[in-house]
Amino acid sequence: MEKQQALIIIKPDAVQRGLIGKVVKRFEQAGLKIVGFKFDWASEEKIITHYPSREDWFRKVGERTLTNYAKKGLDAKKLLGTDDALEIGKMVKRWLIDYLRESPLLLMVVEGYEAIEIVRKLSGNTIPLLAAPGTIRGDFSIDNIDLANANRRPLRNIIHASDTLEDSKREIEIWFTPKELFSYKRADEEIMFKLKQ
Amino acid sequence: MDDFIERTLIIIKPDAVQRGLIGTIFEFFENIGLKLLVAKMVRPEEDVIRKHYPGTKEWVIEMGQKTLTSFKNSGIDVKKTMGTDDPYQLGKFVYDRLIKYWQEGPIIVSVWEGPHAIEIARKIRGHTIPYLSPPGTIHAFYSYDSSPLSASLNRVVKTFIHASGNKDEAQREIKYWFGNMEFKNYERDIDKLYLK
Repeated sequence: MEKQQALIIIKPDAVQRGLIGKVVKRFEQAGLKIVGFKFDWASEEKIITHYPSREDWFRKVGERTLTNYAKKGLDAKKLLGTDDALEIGKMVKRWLIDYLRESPLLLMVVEGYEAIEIVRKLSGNTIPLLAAPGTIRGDFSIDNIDLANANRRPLRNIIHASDTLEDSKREIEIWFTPKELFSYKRADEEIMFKLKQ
Repeated sequence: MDDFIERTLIIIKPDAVQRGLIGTIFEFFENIGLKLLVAKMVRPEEDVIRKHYPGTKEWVIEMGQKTLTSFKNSGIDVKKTMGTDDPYQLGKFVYDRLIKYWQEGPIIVSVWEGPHAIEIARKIRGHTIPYLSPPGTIHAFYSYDSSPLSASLNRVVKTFIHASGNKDEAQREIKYWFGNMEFKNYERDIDKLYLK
């Protein structure tokens, strides 16, 4: 079985609350190996490429916001200045860029069997209100969509984790050069996996 | 207030990385309130590690003398174990082995900032030799390595975490690992409680 690599970004709300170590620890304790690790300010350009710029992505994000507003009986046009899904999608991306530039980011590549799924499981629902106890988002945040919408900002949800293997490959390429990724053995690797060589 | 704000270089060595303790170690410094300014995982060439240390003859001799003392304290015959009791020769020998230790795997190099950061980081890290480190320090919690143990295995003491010893050292080391990088400030949640 092949190992996978997943990109994790510890976002400014976690950085500013002094939660980097606690979050990193969760992945290390589960048995994932950190093969790339850096902490620095991200350029606007990098963040722009990190999130898709396709029209369908903007529309999807915009429509999600519109659906939420409709459910709560909120007037999108009054609150956001537009009820056009594409425009709202672009606005949300702007919010995300500003959010990720509030502090330096901890960028990390973790490696392991089924790493994408493991990372998503450990991270929990992207909406902290809905994230189960024992997950990173469930244990370290109580933010919710209504609060985010009312304050015209994205969810502050501690971490970003790659959704799929394809996303992960694309995202790792944006944030890490091959020279910044390392190969080594964890002390407990053989004990954990007992592989027949 | 600004007079108290210092920056210090912390390096997490290969054994700590391989044991999955990066997060655990960061947690100690973050919990105290120190602010992480920059960090990177690297696997440096021999020469890069060599130059992290002053490397002068006096420094090598001093290291040799420290080794002599720790052998003496552990009651081990240094000449028999290491083939010499000359501080300079001994120092050179230890210097080479130290570099081998650093090369066992990737390391994490980081800069932390805060009031009295240099002393605070040294205090929580504890004694350089884990076996001699007082309870409550990271070295005491996470390692038992000692001079006699390492000598009997023909290696240096695995010193787990490096933390700059004083202001001059911190300044030199930060510049060495990160060049003239400028660190833009950001707010930690506790800044408003203690720094205002």
